[in-house]
Amino acid sequence: MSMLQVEIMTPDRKVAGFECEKVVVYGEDGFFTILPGHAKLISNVRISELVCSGISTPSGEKEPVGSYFVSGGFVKIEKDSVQFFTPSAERGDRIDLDRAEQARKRAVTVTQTATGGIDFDRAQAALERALVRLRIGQKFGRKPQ
Amino acid sequence: MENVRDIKARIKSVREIYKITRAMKLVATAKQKKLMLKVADTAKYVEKIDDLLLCSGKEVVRRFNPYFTPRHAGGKSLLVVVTADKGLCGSFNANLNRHAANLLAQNPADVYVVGKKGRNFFRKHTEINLIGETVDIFGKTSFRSCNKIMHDLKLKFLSGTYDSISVLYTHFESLGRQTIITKQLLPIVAEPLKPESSDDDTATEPVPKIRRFMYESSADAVFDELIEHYLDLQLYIILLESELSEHITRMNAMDSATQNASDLIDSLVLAYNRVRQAMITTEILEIAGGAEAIKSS
Repeated sequence: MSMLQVEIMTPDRKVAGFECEKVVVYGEDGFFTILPGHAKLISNVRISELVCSGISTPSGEKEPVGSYFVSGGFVKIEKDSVQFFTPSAERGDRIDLDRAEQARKRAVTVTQTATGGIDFDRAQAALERALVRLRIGQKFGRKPQ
Repeated sequence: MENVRDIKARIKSVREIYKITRAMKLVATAKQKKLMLKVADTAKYVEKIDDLLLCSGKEVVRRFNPYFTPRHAGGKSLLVVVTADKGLCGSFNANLNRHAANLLAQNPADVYVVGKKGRNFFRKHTEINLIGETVDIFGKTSFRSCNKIMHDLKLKFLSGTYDSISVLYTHFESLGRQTIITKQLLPIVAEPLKPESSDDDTATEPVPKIRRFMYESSADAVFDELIEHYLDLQLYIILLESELSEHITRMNAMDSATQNASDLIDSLVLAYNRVRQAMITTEILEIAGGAEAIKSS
């Protein structure tokens, strides 16, 4: 059976590259699943968790499920190659929960004090990122200190 | 004749300077190497985003995006000047500031400045309207911190405060060549990206249906968001290139400073030896003269 070639890229680096059987993406219109042989598609991605199943890494290891945090961006699907372009991304089990918790507190303070405009919009986006990070991190049984 | 002790003290101080400049050169080299890889990675990423833009640009139906709309000529413009935070990098900052001043003398514009050196320069020139500044961004340049600046600039353009926004920065071409250039950020000028040109493209080169992409939720929505991302990236790569050029210039400046210090040490040591030899010769002559005097008496 053919596999999906998944790449997750940020402006700074390539966060991950692996083969897997299935990816679930939270797109602009809701969740959708990518399987091998998917039609060519370009979609927005929301700040969310990517869930990949049946991963085999380049080093030959197998993992049943992998989880990645993406802070929005895009996905391009073409001939079993799935490329994510996102401002920032991390592996689910490597999320810095303390940092996310601090970011959440900071964002909450700003949203409460700012009356609107740039600061408010940015804080709201930051809050969403922090909350999604915390939610994914807690799946892995960890808690911020 | 110079004093031996003076020369010795000078040699010592020049040796200290030599050590410092050599260390600074090594640091700049290390930073430059690291940043070079980052710039290459980011350039690859930008290429892929450009590719996505070209794909979706052809499919856009609405054919209107505020970032492309050219404004009437002679409107208010904003110049973003990207300098460094730190000195000791040859003429890097001085050149940028001079360039900016010349440019502003020809085409008056408001200024937004990045970097301490530029800020200090424009603060002294009160005739230029400085509308904003960002300092201490280099060294930890992140995509997110650039977005903050870009967000600000986008709003200024969209609200109509400015009709065009350009950036003056040091463009990195290669290790041996960095040039100061002006690049227009807004409105976007890149010809192949223009949604308006989609008609001609499909007319001359019909894309087979099967090669086309589907869009979720629509090509327009994807295109609009891609443009936002594209603009953020533009500024990000500009800041990275400027930082890289700064390190390269510093590396070269420190290299020639180290070379000069080493030359100076050589000539000082030579002078020292000469003076010392002259002293020894005089002393011997004196002793010999003294001995001669005792003998003859």
